[in-house]
Amino acid sequence: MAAPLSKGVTELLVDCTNGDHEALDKLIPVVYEELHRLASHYLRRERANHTLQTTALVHEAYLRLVDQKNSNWQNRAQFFGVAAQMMRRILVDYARSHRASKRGGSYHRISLSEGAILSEDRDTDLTELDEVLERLATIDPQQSRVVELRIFGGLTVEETAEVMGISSRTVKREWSMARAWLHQQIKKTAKKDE
Amino acid sequence: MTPERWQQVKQIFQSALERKPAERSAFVAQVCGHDAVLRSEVESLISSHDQAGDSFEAVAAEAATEMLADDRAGRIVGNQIGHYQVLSRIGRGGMGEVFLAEDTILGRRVAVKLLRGEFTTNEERLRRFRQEARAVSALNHPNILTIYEISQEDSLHFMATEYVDGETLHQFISGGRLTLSQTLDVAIQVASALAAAHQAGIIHRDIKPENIMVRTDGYAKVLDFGLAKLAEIKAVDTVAPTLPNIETEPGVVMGTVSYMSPEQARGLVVDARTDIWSLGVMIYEMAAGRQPFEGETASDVISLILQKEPVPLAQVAPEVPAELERIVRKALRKDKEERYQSVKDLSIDLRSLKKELEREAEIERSAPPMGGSPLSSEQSAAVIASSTSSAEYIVTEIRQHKRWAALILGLMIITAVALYVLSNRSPSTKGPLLRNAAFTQLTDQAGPEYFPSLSPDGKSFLYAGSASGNWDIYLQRVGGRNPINLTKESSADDTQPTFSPDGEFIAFRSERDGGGIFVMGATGESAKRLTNFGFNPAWSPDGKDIICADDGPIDTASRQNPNSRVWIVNVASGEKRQVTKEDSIQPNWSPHGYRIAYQGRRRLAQRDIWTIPADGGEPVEVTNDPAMDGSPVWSPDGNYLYFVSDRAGSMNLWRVPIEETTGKVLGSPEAITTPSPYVSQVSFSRDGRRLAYVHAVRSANLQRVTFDPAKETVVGEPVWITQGSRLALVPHLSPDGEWLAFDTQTDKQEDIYVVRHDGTGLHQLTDDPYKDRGARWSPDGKRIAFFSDRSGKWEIWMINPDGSGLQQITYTTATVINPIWSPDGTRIVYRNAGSNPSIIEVSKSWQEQTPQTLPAMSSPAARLYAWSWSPDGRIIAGYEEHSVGPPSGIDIYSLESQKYDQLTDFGSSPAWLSDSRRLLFHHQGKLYIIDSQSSKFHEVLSVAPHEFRGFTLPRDDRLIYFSLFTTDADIWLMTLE
Repeated sequence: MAAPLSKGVTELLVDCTNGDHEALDKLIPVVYEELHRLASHYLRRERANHTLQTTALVHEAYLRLVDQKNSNWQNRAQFFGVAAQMMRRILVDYARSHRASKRGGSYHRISLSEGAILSEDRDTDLTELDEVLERLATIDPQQSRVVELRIFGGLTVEETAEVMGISSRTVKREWSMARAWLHQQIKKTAKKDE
Repeated sequence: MTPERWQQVKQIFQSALERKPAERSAFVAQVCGHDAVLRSEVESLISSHDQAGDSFEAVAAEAATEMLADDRAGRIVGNQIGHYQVLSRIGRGGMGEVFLAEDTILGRRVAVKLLRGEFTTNEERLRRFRQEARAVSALNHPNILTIYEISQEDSLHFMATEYVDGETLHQFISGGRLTLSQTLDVAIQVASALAAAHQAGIIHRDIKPENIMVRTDGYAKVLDFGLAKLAEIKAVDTVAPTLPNIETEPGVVMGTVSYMSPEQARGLVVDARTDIWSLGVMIYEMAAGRQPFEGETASDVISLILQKEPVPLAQVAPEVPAELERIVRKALRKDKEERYQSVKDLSIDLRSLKKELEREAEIERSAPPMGGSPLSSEQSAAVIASSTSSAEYIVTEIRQHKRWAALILGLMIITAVALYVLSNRSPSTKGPLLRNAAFTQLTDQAGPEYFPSLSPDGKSFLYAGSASGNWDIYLQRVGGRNPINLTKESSADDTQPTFSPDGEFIAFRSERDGGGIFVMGATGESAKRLTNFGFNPAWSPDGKDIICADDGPIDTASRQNPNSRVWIVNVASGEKRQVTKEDSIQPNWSPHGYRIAYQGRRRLAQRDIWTIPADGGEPVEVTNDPAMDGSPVWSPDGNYLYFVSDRAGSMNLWRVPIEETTGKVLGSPEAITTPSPYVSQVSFSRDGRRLAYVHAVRSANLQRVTFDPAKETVVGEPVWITQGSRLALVPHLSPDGEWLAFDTQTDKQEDIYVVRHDGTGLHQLTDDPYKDRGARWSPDGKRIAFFSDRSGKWEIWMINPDGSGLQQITYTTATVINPIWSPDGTRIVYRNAGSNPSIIEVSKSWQEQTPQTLPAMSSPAARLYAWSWSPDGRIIAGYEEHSVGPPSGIDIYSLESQKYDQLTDFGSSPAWLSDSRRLLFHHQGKLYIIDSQSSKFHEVLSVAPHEFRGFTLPRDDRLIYFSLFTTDADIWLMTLE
């Protein structure tokens, strides 16, 4: 059942790696669909802590879609690259359409526990993150890509290094600077809003 | 920043990070040299690096979770969950998504809330939540959202509740502050809901505007009792109460701290007083348009809650009366010992304030605009004397002037302020709450009052009351306190009065001389018979004809004649003409005489409203749904049909747009919600601005009284066994005398309950939307037989006394009800609709049964309604019923001679004593004992004007357990501005 599809995806990945843009266009809906399907499946399992882990999703999508035997590390990197991008697109689109409803009001992330445990942070808006990340891409594409893979692809430092073909140490360094910069930029936006 | 500059910053930043934190600053200073901008950029990044948590990853995961929840919602719409067809998504709360759905069995609209996975993983927590939700729902409070069902399909846990057409209070106040009267309306309703819940031992814990629904008609409903607890246990159990954990836990509930009480914020154990605080915050917010504790972050808010007094309400909203300010201050005492100690006290203060403001507005309305005292000093004194606590607060200040003139002036000033507040909405507020309808109680006689009829000018009204010992017709001025008995001379019951269109005559039902419709002058003079039949007379608009029906019960649920027709009778000639061909009661003429609206029966028990052309023709349906609809009355402009209905839970007032000429319904019914728990019998003034109705409070609870079977008398006074708001009916005692099984009725459900004979150990055997009635213990005490419509029609069922082992016994093609065990437990006799009772063998399956039907009675139209099997097994007692007309007395059937024997010509529900010779039965609030051999009987106990709804005896006959049914009914007036 999964065979013809996975073959298709693997082939598409190979084509993508070879620079075929049409293949990428074909790949996107397949990955998108699979991510969605998996995510719903996750929710249905109703685990005690069922928060959706983007990492797990992307990995599982990869295992399901890509024929392991006939794909190489480049295909794999390509896939995670695409998946992270897809994830970002899906989530940001969603957040954008729901931005209006999330704004305003006196809401804070908080548990309803009598212990009144709360988060100090003002909620970071995903669309803001996306915009700032977009700016980062114009200044430092590599750093922006690290962020995308880590946040939206849910990849570890090592996986990110593998996908990007750079050292783990570089990923770590890029990641810590990107985080600092994003934090700074988002705080600025927050100030402007007030 | 240029890429080159960026690379420079990056290099310094990354090198700095590889050094120890203490050395970084010196390193950066050294590398940047004189480039201060570069240095500041790097330092700023380093400081950001130290602050940045893991929030970005969490943000993505959170968005993904949310999106998938939405996605799931998208898939749910259009599909079925349980027996609910999901129509659309209403919204998402902290606890899960909410959908509008249709109950495919009952055909009503419901809200279905999916509970988020993390709240439903622990069975024990779910069970406790269900229990609490059920307990709150059982309160059957008009301001508490009713939960129909908490269930699950696959792994999806959901809750089906009453659907409320409206918005949350949060949405409602988002436009700005509310008017004083809106604020008080909502606050009073929420307080009332909380008072009921607290009394039942349930704390809400999460009172906030998102948890209050405001219906389009202004009715407020409190949602989600028990849910907060479900969530809170989760958080405490699975997340150690440490800050960092929570921060990275993306599944954490979105909530708000703004309504938390100080003790809640501190994580202490909370009690009912936490709800009082939260309500105080809400009242402040409604009146002021801002919250009392506002801060940048949640922890700012919490520190304000713990330490700071809010800005006084008067500073934020100067027009708010000092009394409201005092109330809010008292609700917001940080020390809960100084706060209102019960929400009831808070509620009393709010109501007093509201009343006071209304009274002042009333005085102002009746006062001349300038000069002269609007009231005599006596009247002023009366106003003050009847004022309650909050009024005293205002009045005390005025009293300091100690001069009447000053007092009156003071009253007028307050009135002016009150009027200003009541009528002037601040520009940012929304449309009128309660559509500016005001509700006033008009009567408070001893005993119930029914059948109001407003005079055409709306200034006086007629009604039937029983204060004199029998039913009489009274005339009273609206606002007056002196009812005039118009039928004092008649010892027969006179009821159902109605003014003629010109207000000159009164038509009414009287039991005098065999009963019929009578007509008299507007002050009770020269009463004349018009017909020798008929109930509920109503005049044609030209006053020439009167319509009436063959049956006219006070309560449409207890019909005497199930096949009533509507008739038109000419007042001058007495000629009559039949209008309807099907069952129909409560006829009312449309204002221009085209049509007659009435309540009729569809199928067995569905009561709907139809209209029919007055000059003949086919009826057109107005409603067709399982809700009980009745008392249709046209608005005087003919554009609406008003009626009473339990479609939203309790029996309340509704209207539907209608075309008067054709009867075509032009829209769906809309609620005109009154503050009354049970509304019936509606009457309009000619201008359509006043509407009188019956406000009824019904209750039925179990009592016990000692009985001496030798002397055949009761000993001492009855004592209560149950005292609750749900009706407890038709008790049946277990063979060991320990337990009572009984029927319960709320507006939503009819279930079987069991309680120990001393009132302890109450538990519920069935709990679902089906109607379960007539519980009877098997003689060995192991099973309980009852009848239920759970299979789609009425059949006999059994259940174990612990609620297990539910089993369908009969699978008939007819309607079978009321199972009665034979004393040896081998057989059951039940009532067949339309024929005599049948007997089946308990040990056989339905396929093996050959039900044995008792022979016909002497009158072919009569049937036995079997009620009790004699302890010696030889005689079945019951009462005689007819397809038309009321039951006609107690009958016994001998299984040996196969003959019936009529013992009385009145009464119902006979039950054998242990000697298999004597029977107890009741009739109109009186319990009698009869000797089945001599047919001699006498009264044992009277609860009139209340009624019995079933009774039961132990095997030694020394106690009588019974259900006491009481109705208190008053006439209320709705005034539309």
